[in-house]
Amino acid sequence: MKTIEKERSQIAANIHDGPVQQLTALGFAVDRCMLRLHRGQSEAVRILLEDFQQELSSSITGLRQVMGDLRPPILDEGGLVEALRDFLAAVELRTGMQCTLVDRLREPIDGDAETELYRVAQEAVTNVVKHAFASEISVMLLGIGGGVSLVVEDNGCGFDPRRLGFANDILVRTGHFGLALMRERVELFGGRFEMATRLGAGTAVRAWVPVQNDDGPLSRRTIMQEVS
Amino acid sequence: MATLERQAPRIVVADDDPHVLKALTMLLEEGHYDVVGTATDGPSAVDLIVESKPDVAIVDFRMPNMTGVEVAEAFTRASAEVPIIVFSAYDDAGIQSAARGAGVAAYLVKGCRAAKLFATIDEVLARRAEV
Repeated sequence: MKTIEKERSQIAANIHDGPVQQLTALGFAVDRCMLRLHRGQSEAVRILLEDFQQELSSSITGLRQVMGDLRPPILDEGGLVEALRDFLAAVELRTGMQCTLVDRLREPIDGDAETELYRVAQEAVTNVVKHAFASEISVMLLGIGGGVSLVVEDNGCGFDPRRLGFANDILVRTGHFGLALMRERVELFGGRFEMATRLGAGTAVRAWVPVQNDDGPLSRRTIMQEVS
Repeated sequence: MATLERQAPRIVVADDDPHVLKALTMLLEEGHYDVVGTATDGPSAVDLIVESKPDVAIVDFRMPNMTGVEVAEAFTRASAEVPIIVFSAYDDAGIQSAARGAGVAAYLVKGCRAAKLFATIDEVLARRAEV
């Protein structure tokens, strides 16, 4: 659970560094208005209020981003595929990377599995954007037997595959928090997480999570082989 | 008839958030305090306080490299006479207790109103004058 606790402290840090600071600054600005009103400087107050409008919009944007990071509303309204489509469109717009979503799900999946897979996709894509120097990202969803597989691939620089064998506490200590978090999330959900990479040859993240299905689950080994 | 004007208290402000630093500086100036310098991390705040010898320093709790409480500790250890007001987003009893232990002159929670900020500064300055 250490990694998930670390994720929570990251969310707390984001709230501390973003909305709390912006609202603190805004509170001071309101106090400046009050001081000026006491001095009868109403025109100066009007100018300050115009500035606040802009700062307030920026605070609302910051809070919306925190909300979206915690739980994107589209995940509840449109499901995993729509949420991923939306997320990838935003990444493409922001970074210029070519993002592709391949949906091979045969039926809708339950809410908890959707959330886990969305989180893993979000983390994997964020890692690509931050570290991979890639120009293309592909995200694929496959319904396999008793579960769903998510595959995130990029054409970036890859990394030393020996790092993949590290235990989660070592990954966290050495700054590879995202990789540890994805693995922990999927394993806590009873799923399986794998990565394949090579220096200069991109990276593939594969996560499988079980979902309720009348067909009965396939063995995990078979599922991972099928995804490969 | 000549009037005696109070000399504006000289203040150093340190915060790593540029919005807060700017807004706090402007508010203090509006309240007739003289902001003699600003810093955006702990070590720079220490250097600035040593250099400019302000009447009081207002230091954010969470800053890169050094917290506001560590800044206060550095001055307590050196028996320096600059009182430090720690200004923090955390309304947390544990942090406040650590701040008191480190010799912080006052602890203010972000979101407080200007009246409270000004009153705290004036109170710290009055205590300093008594000493």
